[in-house]
Amino acid sequence: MGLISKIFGKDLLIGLNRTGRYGVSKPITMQYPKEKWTPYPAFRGTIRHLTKETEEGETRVRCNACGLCARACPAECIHIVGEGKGKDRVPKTFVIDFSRCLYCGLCVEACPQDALEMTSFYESAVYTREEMVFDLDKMLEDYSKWERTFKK
Amino acid sequence: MLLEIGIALLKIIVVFALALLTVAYLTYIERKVIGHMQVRMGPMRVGPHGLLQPIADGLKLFMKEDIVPYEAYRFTFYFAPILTLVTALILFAVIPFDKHFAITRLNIGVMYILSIASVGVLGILLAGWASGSKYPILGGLRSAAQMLSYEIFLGFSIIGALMISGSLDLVKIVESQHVWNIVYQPVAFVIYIIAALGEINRVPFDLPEAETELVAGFHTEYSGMKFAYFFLAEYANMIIVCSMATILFLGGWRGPVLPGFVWFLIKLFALIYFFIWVRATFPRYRYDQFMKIGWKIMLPIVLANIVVTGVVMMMVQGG
Repeated sequence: MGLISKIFGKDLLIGLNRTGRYGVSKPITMQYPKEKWTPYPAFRGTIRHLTKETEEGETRVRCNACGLCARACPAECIHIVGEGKGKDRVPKTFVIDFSRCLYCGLCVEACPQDALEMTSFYESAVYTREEMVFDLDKMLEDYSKWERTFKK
Repeated sequence: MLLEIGIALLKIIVVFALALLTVAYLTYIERKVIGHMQVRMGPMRVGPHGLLQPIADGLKLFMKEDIVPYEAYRFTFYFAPILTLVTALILFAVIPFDKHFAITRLNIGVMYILSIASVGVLGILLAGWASGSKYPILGGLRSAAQMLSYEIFLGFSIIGALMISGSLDLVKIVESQHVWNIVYQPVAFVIYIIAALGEINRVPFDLPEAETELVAGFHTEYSGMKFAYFFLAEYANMIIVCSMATILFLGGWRGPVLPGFVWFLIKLFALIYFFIWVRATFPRYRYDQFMKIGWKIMLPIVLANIVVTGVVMMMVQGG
């Protein structure tokens, strides 16, 4: 840097120019509970259970309690007890402990019935550990109703 | 007689209320501007766009516990923030916001501001000493050294403008500026701004309260309202040095079309914006470098500036 540019504070002006330009640019802050980030299509959020329509027109869970998801789970957080034989076999209990789940999606991959789905729900913070354990009824619910909203 | 006193009181109330409000909202402006320069938003939650944030901060500070350290000198500990705030606020007494609007018109206004401003240093020094702790005393000592050395070339830098205006009266100084003094005294203006940054302890010269080295410098042990006093004093001082720059170099309330005080406020806030901008941009100086540029670079330049101004004035006016 030459003496002339040093006297006129060229480096200082470069710095001021940079901050000045950022000063008029739009902030990138997302004000979380007010504005929400939309996850990408392949986002792996809280796992959900799907239902299917039978030929008789009744809705029932797709899961037939084969236990492949529990075998695939690296965190061993899925616990299944099935009941019934053949086509009527349904899970008696189906529990995912989301405090242990690492959201890898291997259970979803493993399921031959496509009964599990990774949703885009990510606001899964709760107050107790017990609330993190989801049973079948809870996993059949629509998670979007638990989304956080900004109250004035 | 009574009418005069009434008018004077009214002026005092108006100026002080506005000054305190501006000081409170300067914290908001500063946080907003710096936030946007860092691509953030700054305060957004309290009121629309965070407009009530200063009030919330004030309430919080007001309701805080009044803590005095065990080793502190109690009286001095209470006295120091009051001294700092009072000296900062009584400076508003002579600032002419418009041709006819100043609380009082002193014929030695510049003198008054320089002398009272140097009493303000005492408050910071006392605060550092009275806290009875290591960091504040280091901050206080630094502050004393910094303010003393920077006040010298702050004083010298305005001499050029005073020579051209030929008066110490702030109103007369503005009236004499048919062309703004900054045109005749660009070097003095730049050095005044640098000295002012040093004088009011702002980044890049915030050595007395350097967070990374001294926790919070002289106000480490202060909390609640006493801390708020220091804060208010700092921002009040910022307004004062910016108004001084406006009056001495930028032609005060002079300007076309708009009324005088509007021009004054425009110039004042442009300078304040610049100070905040500088804070968002530059890192802190090292202490020895800071002293070096003060004594070895700025002071000779200012002295040369005075000599050159004098010689040119002699040649123009023909002795």
